[in-house]
Amino acid sequence: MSNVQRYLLVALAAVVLVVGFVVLSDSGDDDSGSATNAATATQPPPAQTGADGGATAPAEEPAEETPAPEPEETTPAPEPEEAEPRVPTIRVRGGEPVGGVKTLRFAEGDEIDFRVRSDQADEVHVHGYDVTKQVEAGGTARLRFEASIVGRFEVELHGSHTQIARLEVQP
Amino acid sequence: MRRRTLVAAGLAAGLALALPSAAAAHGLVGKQDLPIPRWLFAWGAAGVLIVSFVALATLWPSPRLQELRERVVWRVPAARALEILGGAIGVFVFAVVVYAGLAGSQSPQENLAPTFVYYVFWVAIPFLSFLIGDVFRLFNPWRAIAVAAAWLAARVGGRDALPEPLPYPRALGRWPAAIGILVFAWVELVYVDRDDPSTLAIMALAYAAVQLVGMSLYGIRPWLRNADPFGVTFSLLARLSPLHWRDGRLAVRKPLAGVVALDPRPGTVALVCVMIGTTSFDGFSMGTVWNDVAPDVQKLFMDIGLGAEVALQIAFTLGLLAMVLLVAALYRLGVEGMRTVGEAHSAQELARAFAHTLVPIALAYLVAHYFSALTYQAQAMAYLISDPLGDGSNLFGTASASIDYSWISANAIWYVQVGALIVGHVCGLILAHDRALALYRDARAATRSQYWMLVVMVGFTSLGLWLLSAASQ
Repeated sequence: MSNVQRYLLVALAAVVLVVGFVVLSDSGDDDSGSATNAATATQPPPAQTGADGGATAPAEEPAEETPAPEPEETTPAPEPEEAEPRVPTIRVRGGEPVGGVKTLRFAEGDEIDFRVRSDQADEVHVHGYDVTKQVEAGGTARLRFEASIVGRFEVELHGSHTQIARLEVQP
Repeated sequence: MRRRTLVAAGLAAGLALALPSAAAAHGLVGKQDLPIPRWLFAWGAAGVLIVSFVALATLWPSPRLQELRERVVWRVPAARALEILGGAIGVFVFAVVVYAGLAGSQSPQENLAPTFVYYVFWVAIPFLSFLIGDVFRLFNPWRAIAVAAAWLAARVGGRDALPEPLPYPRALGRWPAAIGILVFAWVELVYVDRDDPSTLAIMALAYAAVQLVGMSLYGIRPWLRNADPFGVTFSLLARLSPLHWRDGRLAVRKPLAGVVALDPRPGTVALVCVMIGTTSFDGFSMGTVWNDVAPDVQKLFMDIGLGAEVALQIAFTLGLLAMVLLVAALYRLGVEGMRTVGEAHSAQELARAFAHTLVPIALAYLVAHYFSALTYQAQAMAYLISDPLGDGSNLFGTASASIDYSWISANAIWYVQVGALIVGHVCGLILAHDRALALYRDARAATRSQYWMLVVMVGFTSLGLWLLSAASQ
């Protein structure tokens, strides 16, 4: 192989790589929703600010648990919020998230909105955003803020230092 | 107290379902990277294959990098004074970090020690080593203390005050460094108290003590060149740099040429495998695949009567070791493959001859996994240096600074990650190709041996891409 052929081959490869990158990244931007859907299987449209257990446990979708609160935990305060069934709720019992750590997914620029219901008083802390909110024993805390930072963030209970959920904000 | 018992009860009850503390492996960093999207994964994987085959077809036919040529471009003025100053700064920073860890707030985010150890020391110095050469050697606090002690002893007691150091055992080579890095990675990724400032400070003191004893036994230079885990690792990565500082002079060399001259003492292969394997496990242990497996392994050890926390640490320890062994096995596969192409090189000879080709891969893994966290935690240093103890002081007026997580977009992070892996892949291929040309007398055998190294390199790069992708996360 002559030197000219070598340079041509390198140039050709560079062109293929650049074209491939442009083509793929365009399609990735256009239908990023469908691409993410393919990866996570069950992502609802971001507009609904839906949350789910991802590919891991769609049956344990927290939103489904909200319309049926346990009788002893019913307090007058959260009832107006019960009218919005799509606000996901993380239930915490004994300092542990019921059903394991789940992922709440949002799109950048949306409003992040979820509730934490705990049988013990503690402080909910969203890493990265550094949002904190007190939750009373047997009560519910609602956290609402703008999804301004893209990435994955831990939601933890400050007192017991346990992760109760994972927040994922997609670009 | 009541809460604590409740939490303990909850831990025991909820363990089969969830990992209590393991998921918080990186509690220090508020934000984790999103997994790379599918299209970028696909493009990255395809790109790796394309560059590999282009490299096979176009790389040079006779060795070009084997001879290390360096050109001295600058004589550092007052090099001796600079060395003393650097050492003093190193000792001072070491003392501040240890003091902060012991005396300061025990909250990992508020104390200087955890962020300094895990990000400035363990991530920023490797990056700097690659960019501007072996900086750590200048600031190495253990070296500075040992040099000062030796000088003092010679001043006070005369030239013969210190006994001759023992000869460093050749067979030991870089093994102490490999084991030391493995232990450090265990502390960082497995140990439950990894972020506890006072525990870290005590471990830093213990590390310093081991280094000082080692240097006093075997001599400062031989010990630092072989057995100081961090010093050896940083200088290994600094070999990738085109800048070489030695004896008060700055020399330049071709990129990658420095690492070709790596003397493959025993333990060198182990050290690079540990570097790649532990970084891999850091990514892997945060993903869903591992977090599905780990509770089962943990339960296995709880069934034989161990506590939940101990069982979890054992599970993570096994995962860490398995990852290092996987990396070593992949490299071994390439070596065994190369043995089949003729010329009767022994497995050990081949393994050592190609050890340096893994160094760029190790750096690429570091960049891919820690680049974004470094840029965030470097910002955290702004408030940590003003308030190192977390007690509300404000030494430099920057205590109220915060981390801007949005300065770099998710896309930019992905490009850096995938780009680093591909560049590391190409560098590994180039180094392996050049070494094969030098090692094999027959050009055909050299080419055939490189199909095997290509398998190894593609394996590492695919593993790296997979660890970043949604499939593992």
